Amino acid sequence: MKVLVCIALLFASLLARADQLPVATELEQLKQQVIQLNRELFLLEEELLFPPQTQLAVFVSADAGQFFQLDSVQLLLNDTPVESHLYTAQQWDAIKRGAIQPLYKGNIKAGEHHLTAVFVGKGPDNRDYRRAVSHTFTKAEDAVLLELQINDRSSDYQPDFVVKPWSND
Amino acid sequence: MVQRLSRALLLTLLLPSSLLAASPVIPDNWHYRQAAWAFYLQQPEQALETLQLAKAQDPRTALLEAGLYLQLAMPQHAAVILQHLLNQDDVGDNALPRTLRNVALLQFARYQLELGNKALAQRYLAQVQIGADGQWLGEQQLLSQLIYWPDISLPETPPIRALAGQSEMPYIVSNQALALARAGQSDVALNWLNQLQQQLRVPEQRGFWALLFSGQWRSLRAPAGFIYPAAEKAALSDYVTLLKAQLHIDRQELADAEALLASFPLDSVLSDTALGLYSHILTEQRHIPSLLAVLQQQIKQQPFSLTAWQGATRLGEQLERQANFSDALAAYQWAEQYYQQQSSLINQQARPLQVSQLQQGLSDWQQLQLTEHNDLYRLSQDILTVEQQLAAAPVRQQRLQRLTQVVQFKLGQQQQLLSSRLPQLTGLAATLKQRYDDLRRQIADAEQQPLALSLTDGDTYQQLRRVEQAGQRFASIENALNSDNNYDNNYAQRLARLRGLLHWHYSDNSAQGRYQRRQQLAAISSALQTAEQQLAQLAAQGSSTERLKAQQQRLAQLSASQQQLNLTLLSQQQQLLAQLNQQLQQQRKAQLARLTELQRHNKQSMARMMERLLPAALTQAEVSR
Repeated sequence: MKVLVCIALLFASLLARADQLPVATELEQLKQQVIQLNRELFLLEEELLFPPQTQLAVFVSADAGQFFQLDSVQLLLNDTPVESHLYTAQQWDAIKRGAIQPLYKGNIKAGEHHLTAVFVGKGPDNRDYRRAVSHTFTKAEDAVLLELQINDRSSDYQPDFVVKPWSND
Repeated sequence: MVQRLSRALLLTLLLPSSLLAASPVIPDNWHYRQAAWAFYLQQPEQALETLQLAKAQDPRTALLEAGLYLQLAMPQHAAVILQHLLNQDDVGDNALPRTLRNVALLQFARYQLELGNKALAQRYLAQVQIGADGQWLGEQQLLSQLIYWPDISLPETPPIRALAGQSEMPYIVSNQALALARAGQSDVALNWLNQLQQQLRVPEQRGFWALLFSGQWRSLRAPAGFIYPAAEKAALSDYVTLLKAQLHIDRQELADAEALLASFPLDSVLSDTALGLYSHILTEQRHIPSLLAVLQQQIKQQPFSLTAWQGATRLGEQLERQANFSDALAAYQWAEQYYQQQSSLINQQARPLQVSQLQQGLSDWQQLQLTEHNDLYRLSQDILTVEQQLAAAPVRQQRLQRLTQVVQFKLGQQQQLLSSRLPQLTGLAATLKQRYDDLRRQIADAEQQPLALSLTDGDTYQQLRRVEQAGQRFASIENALNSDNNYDNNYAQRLARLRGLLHWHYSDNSAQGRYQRRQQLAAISSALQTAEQQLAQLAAQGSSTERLKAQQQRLAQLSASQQQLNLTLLSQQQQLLAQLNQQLQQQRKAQLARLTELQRHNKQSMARMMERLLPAALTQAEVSR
């Protein structure tokens, strides 16, 4: 009887081994599960912490960035500083290559708001450069997405700073 | 590429401002560019997460996703995406541009080659169409060599100029030189290698896609951008020198080989191989003093290696060949001690590993095994990958807890809103509505009267009220006196005149008063409607309780998944660690067996030396006696 049990156990273990995936595949599946879990968490965080009814998100992007090198950005919402960022060479390089930086995400009340972004850096001829750009908007039911664009103005070889609102529809 | 996308975005921004005034819809490449931000900041997990949130998945996004999967050492997922991309039509608006299709084809062919599917790799490689700019030509040719080796195509002259600017050029040419040597044309091979060595220089900056799929994305740390590592350039040069030395040895041109190897850099990654070749040449040439120095160098530089162990015996052997038997015996005796010391060191350092030791705390022997054996290295990397995932678990747990608290708080708020505040506010709104209706009715009734006191205000109201009071008083006096004289008539006429005057005043202002009342009523009605709408919205939020409960459930599921995942990761890590330790023990046993074998051989040599020296020693003893 004992022998039969041992054979059955051996057979079961062999079957289990046959079902077992190669380690590389198993590891990939585990990594994928972690990625999915993180994504789910991110979506829930968006829904719960930054619902569209209150969400304000600000991004930074740049055109070629020939006439301006960004050192820092300060963000003021209704004249109150809410975010500031100092740029490393690597981060500025990423923006120049076309990446969009998610600068700020927060919650605001419905109604009219005033956003000011202060850009500090080096302008043409490596001169210190400080410019502010303002934007007034009305917060309603939809999320407010604003892109702070740093463009090259070829007409006078100066940088141009624009606030571009986007809709998430 | 990303810049090209940004230009495309800018083109959309150049649309008439009237079109952009009302918040244009977020562009499709928004997530792509956000993913690029994370990618450039060396956060491939986050880049992938951002990319996968994109609503529309165009081929370009899919290709970036495949590249990110490769960065995360997930080739199977990358291969699925690449194959899906390659199965799509390569014509039409949504088709992958030719250059990017080439990237996908090359990566997929490489993946098939690594799986051992050479036929499939050949099929996909054949589909690559290199454009006039020659982009990806080097990668294509190198992959072709790997797939078809050793039957690779050999041009008449080294393709150094044709592949100028391609980072793969040195590998392609050196492979061709090897193939030439195998075909017995070592003269031509040596010539090609000489030409190659002169051309070795830092290649041009690498592009986005080349970097993404080359696995050299870490070089982005350099602020200057994509830099071809100088260490690779040095290693390439050393590799070509070694190839040339090997070819000279094959041609029995030992002096030329020695000349090349004598100046070989000691700090090169290939110095072990160079020392091996050098000691071979010196043995052949019987340059015993130099050979002894090289062997000692090998023993010092390559602990726990077969080369060093063999070197220990070879020291004695070389002295024996010189008929220097007493020194040879001393060398063999030293070798015996060395073997014993190596055995005890291996036993000491080959203790079972823990995960924490993999990051820091490996013994020299363990470190060497992981460096020299691919399987062991891969296992250790897998364990560290799992460890990374496990280390991120507490952060995920904190995020989950925070979200659970938020949901609970919001549910509490909802509960309070629904159970107390909403009924209160609804009741208040209903009372106000009722009062408004009553007021409107009263006004409507008053407006039917010729001179309604309630519809007057200010002086008119006061005057009318006084006239009415005077009228009432007069009527009461008249009734009391019951008289009918001129005095009374006079008062009645005066009162009637005053009433008429006020009536005329009232009629004169009534249109304006009616208009003002209607305006005020309309304003109150509108305010009441707004309040009702807001209440309706609040009431509608009551339905978000269901949503919050669903989110709470999702959070609970995620928490359970997280725990399950942690358990699986831990179990996987333990399995991998057990496997690594088992294989390390196998290495230990195999190396000890090799050492025993060398020791046995060394002991035989020692015995042989003693046999030679013993008669001489006896003779000397007899002479001295």
